[in-house]
Amino acid sequence: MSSSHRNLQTASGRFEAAEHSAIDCIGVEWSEFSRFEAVLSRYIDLCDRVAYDDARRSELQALRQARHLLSRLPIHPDHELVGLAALNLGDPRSPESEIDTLRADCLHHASELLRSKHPAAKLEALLRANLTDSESIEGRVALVAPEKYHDALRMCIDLSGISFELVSQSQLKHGGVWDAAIYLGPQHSSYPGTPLELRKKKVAWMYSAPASRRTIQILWSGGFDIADFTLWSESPLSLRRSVGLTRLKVFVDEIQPPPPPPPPPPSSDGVPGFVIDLAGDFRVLLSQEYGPRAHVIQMNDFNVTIESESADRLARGDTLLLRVDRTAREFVINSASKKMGRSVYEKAKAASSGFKQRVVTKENENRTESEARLREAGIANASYYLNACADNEYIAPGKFEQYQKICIALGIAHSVDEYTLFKKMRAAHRTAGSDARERIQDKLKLDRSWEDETREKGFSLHDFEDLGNILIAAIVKITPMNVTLSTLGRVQKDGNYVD
Amino acid sequence: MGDVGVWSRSDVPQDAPNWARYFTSVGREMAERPNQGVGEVSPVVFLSVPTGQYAAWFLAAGALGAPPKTPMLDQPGDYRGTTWVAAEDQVADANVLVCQSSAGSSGLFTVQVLPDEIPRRGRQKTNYRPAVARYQADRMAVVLHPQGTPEERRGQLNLTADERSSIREAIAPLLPRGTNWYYWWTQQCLSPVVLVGTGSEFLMRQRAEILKESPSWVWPTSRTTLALDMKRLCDPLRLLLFPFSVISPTVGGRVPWLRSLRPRLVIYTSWTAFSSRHPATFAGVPAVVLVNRRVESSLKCADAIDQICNNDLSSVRSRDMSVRGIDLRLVEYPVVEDDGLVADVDDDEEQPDEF
Repeated sequence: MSSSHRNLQTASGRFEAAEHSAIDCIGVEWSEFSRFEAVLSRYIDLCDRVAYDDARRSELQALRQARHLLSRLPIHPDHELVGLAALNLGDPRSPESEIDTLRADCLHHASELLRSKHPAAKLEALLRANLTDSESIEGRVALVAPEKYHDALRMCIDLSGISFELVSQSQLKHGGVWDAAIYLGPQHSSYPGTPLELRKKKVAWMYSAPASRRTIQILWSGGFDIADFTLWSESPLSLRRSVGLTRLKVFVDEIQPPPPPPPPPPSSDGVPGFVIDLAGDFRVLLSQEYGPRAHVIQMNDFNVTIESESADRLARGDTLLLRVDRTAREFVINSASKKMGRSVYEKAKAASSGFKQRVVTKENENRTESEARLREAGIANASYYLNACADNEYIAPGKFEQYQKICIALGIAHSVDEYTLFKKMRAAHRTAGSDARERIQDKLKLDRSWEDETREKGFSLHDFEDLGNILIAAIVKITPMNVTLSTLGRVQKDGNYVD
Repeated sequence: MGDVGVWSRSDVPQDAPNWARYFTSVGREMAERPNQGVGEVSPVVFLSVPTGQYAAWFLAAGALGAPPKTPMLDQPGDYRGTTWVAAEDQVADANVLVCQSSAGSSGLFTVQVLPDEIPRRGRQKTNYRPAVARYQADRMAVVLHPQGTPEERRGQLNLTADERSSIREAIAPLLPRGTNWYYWWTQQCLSPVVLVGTGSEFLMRQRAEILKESPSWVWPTSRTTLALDMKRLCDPLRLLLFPFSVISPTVGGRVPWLRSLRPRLVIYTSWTAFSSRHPATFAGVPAVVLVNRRVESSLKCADAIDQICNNDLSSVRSRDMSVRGIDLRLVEYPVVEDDGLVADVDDDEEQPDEF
């Protein structure tokens, strides 16, 4: 079978899966977990209102993590991944206050939970009862769970006799078409920092553009309303069958990321730009006019592209690709230098520095006058050029007329030869930059596990060898603000530059 | 036969699966809608789809089956335009002289096509000036160039002699008896179907795959037209020289003259392609936007059109053929006047785009 046939067949399968899709929801009761969840929620609510010490903070974090995992995975509560067994549950402090009473209650229910069995551990029987023979024996069944838990799941659940494959959301999104897909737990519990409603929309495709003719959603916690998983109320989306408890009382709230650090104080002498807060407490400052452009990852079924985007067009939820050290920049410089020849490149670099220095000297003498002179010469964005010349990565104006006007207006030397060097340098940088981008793009296309990791944590870090370390992270907040040129494009973590 | 002349539901290729037939139908219907002028509203259909793959080509196949929308000449004058240039045996740019056909017969015009001089091989100094061709205005399609169209578009040669003869051989037998091949072909080229999206190679590969693996899913003439396979189809500066083109979303911002062209149908392969276009690009031309639900930009699209879409779909004939899993939204956008501005390429140059 040719690959083109496979592609067309896959696409056709996708359309047909959406056309004939059936969504079955199976709710399983697990009263021990419901009780634990309810008490934990009250305990968290109370803790959010009072100050508490590091020991309580870390215990609370462990309990939340346990709840998060148990709501998503059919693994036994005493599994080491869950972390409940490692907590000191047997010796709660003597309750002196409401908060301690709730804590004691919470630990008690956690102990009960440890003694219970995860109901979805009976998955085999559940699936045997719900899958047809043609699906479970002859067909291809996808069992969907985050990739990092696949090994643990293989150890925990016994599905012998059922022909299934463990797949992640991204494998489901970009792979072929299955006879049935089983979703374990809520599918929207990733995307840290994203509001619940938006998270549901982000996974709406799993129900409205499924990779299988039949979707079986198994839940043992939380409610499920298929209407929440639509973009614009797609008419095909409806549950075919719903059995068991699909509306349990408590909804699992996510592990909330700590709020991002406050934005830096506004800088009056900077240029217009944005403070971009990213998942994982990363932050980058960008400007629509100066410094590097943003690189946004765009994805479709088979393709991943890195699009350069002006900072003012970015939106919350966009996924940015950022260099976190100077290696990529060095790659661009080295490639450009190789392409132009080292001596020509050095000459061009010196010419660029010389030109910028001449402009900066004039600017330092009298900025207002320099700006006025540039405007008189017909340069509308005079301040742009004055600011840009202070930027290390800036080469020179792109057009000769502009360069000539600037030099004449400021009374500084210029020559065609100098401009020719700028032009060559710019072209060489662009080619090298675009090569780097394509290489990264190809790597991201080849192995899409980064997609799951980014979805799970909101960010992922990658070592691209000679292209350096790359951060892929979702935007959680954008604050318009004046920013200083030297800070543009540099990634910060917890307020410190990472490069 | 279904693909020329009057169209009905039963004409949609029966071999094709439901989804492909639905796209063919929507493409055809939207292309049949008239192009609108400034101050009017123009329909844009958003199709929420489970995958964006291949859909654009079935829309294009349907649109190519719709009657071309070439304007009638109604003002005498000396123009530059694109039309059939007999001397070159293909659609090309030429000087066009429109004259009143004869005294007393008001409203009738003749068109004189004055081909450009063609440098002859082997002769360094002498250029060959081909003969002037004359037509009645209603027998020849001409699109006059908007202001700013370069005098000489990308190269002189559009199709090679071999390409010309193979297209003619493939298409002529499919046309109804009495249909003038070059007139038909000219109309197709002058009222093209334009696909707007990134990754033209990727898109063109999908087209080739459909034609290779499932040719019967496409109408014969659309199939033959879509079988054109050359890089020139993805060159925006060659618009109007082929029945279909694939261009990038940002071209309109950079090339103002191109914005005022009036294709038969514009197909945006994604919400990103639609939202990043210059708003005056092909304004007034019916458009279809594919919104792949598995791509996150579909969320932005849903937000953007949720409040402005028209819930009354009674005017959409193809809804009778609608397929579960493909959802249609109709938005009527006001046709805006072109501000004539060119995207500031200089700014783009200044801000490093390197990685």
